[in-house]
Amino acid sequence: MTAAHLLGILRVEARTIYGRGSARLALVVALLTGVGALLAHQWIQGQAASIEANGAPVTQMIEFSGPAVAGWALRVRNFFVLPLVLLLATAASFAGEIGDQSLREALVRPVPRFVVLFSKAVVLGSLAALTLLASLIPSLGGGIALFGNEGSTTVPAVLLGFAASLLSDLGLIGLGLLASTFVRSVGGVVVSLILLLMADTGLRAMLKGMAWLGADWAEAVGRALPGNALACWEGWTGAWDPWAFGGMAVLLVSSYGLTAWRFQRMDVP
Amino acid sequence: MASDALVTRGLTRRYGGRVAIDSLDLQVKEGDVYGFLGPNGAGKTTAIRCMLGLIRRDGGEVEIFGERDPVRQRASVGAMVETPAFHTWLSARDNLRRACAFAGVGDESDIQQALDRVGLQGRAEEKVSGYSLGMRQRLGIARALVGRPRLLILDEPTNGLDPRGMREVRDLLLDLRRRDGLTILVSSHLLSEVEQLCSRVGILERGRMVAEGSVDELLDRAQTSVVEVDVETHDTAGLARALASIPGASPAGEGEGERLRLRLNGIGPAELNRALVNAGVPVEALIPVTHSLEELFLRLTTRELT
Ligand SMILES: Nc1ncnc2c1ncn2[C@@H]1O[C@H](COP(=O)(O)OP(=O)(O)O)[C@@H](O)[C@H]1O
Ligand SMILES: [Mg+2]
Repeated sequence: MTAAHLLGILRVEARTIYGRGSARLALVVALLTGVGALLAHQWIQGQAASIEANGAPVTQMIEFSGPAVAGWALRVRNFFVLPLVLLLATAASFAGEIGDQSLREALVRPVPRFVVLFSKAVVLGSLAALTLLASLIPSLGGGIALFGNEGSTTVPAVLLGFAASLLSDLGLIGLGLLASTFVRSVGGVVVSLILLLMADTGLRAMLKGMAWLGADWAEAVGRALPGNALACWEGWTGAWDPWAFGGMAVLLVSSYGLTAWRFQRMDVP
Repeated sequence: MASDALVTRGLTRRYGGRVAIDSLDLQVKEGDVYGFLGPNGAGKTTAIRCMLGLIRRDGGEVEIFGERDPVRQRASVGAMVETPAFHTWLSARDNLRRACAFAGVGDESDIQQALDRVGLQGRAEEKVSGYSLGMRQRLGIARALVGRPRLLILDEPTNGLDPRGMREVRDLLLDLRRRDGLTILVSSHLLSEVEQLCSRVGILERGRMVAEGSVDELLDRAQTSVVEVDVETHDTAGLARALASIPGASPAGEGEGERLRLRLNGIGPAELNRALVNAGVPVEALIPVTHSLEELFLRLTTRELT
């Protein structure tokens, strides 16, 4: 393998993954979260001065600043839709290609399997990063232009939130790739990950119960489980959870490592 | 003496308890067009997948142009396995660009040449989703051609083609052999379509190689071990009676009017003639049957039934 060979593979893999509907959908949805957050703030400021909640105007309870708008864009982006679309793109490019046998074309070539996997992970990671930018640039840029930069939410804090979200996305992509070595259909991967995260939620509730009964270790373990690790970005508002990041490190190493190990030994007919 | 292009030794793959290919020894020499034959389910595709490293093997080894490393050996191979699959939302040309990138060699002119070779030059910018089965089959062959292979491994490449398409593929393979000096392994369950094409054939049955050699060698071997003759007589009842007492001769299939095909095992046509005349059968004609490879193929692969 030469560097030129690897670059060529990355280029065609990018063309393939970005050519899929799921990648375009991810970029469009991300852009909508950025622009939507901005427009929503503008609308509230303009129209809702008269709306009151608990005796005070709503506008006084909402922070109007660029970083605050970006923070809302990030919350909306990470709330369900975009992770699901990223998961779809991941499953389509791995489980889908195994299932419809188009992956075979890459595997009959003089390329080690881990390079095939690596190129997919890099391109999917770049897709995640681009969706973050598509959400960040209009919300932060537009927000600063419209509302300025004054407020309790700071630019560095919200930027860290976006950076941690990239980590969460990479973890999710890793899980999607790993599931693809078990289930050879896009729907199967999505369903199995949803089931996994539901089981994870149940387990965390159980661990919380044990912690409440006195088992000190149980709380920390629960916070390191994948469900909480994938939410590590939520700490940007002020309280980062080190256990979530520890869990994320374990998740990243084990999901990509296990995927590479399984893929190397797998029948891909 | 041509050197070896592809050699397998003891290649074995099991699915659960069932052996799909059993200790397969196969030898393709440089410059061969090798016909890899066998009825459906014989294990041709499984063997090809093992050679290409697509599936795990339970034993044996594969050598391609002397190279043993599974990744490096694929540098000299272009392959099409079963029905080719594509990224259907990309154009045919983009699919070949992918192949080129993964191969790590070749450029736009190689892609154009491959498209020309299979007659798709006019449709290269269309998305593959709009391609017919036959067009996909050709595109699969074109894809095997990019990456400048020395050995082509094609699994039933005429699948889904009409008779004219089949002919075109046959001509293309001959041309690739003659003009480009490629070595070709082509699998088929239809012997007639590779008989005129192949210099050597291997016949696979239930995962085992039952015969391997040049077409002429196999035919010779068939002639010396078992021979079939057509006997003509107006006394077919007498012939049937006489046969019961002639060891090594038995009817091969239904008779046709005054003509009956006999299979000889251990006796020659002359001995048969003498025995029939001694038994009082008026033999009017006794014609040794030359075998087509098709008959040999059927016989070798249905041995347990006969
Ligand atoms: N994934 C699989 N699981 C179980 N059995 C299989 C699998 N793939 C192939 N086989 C079996 O292996 C044998 C050989 O199949 P195959 O290689 O496709 O034959 P051919 O290509 O000669 O028609 C068949 O009996 C088939 O049922
Ligand atoms: Mg087959």
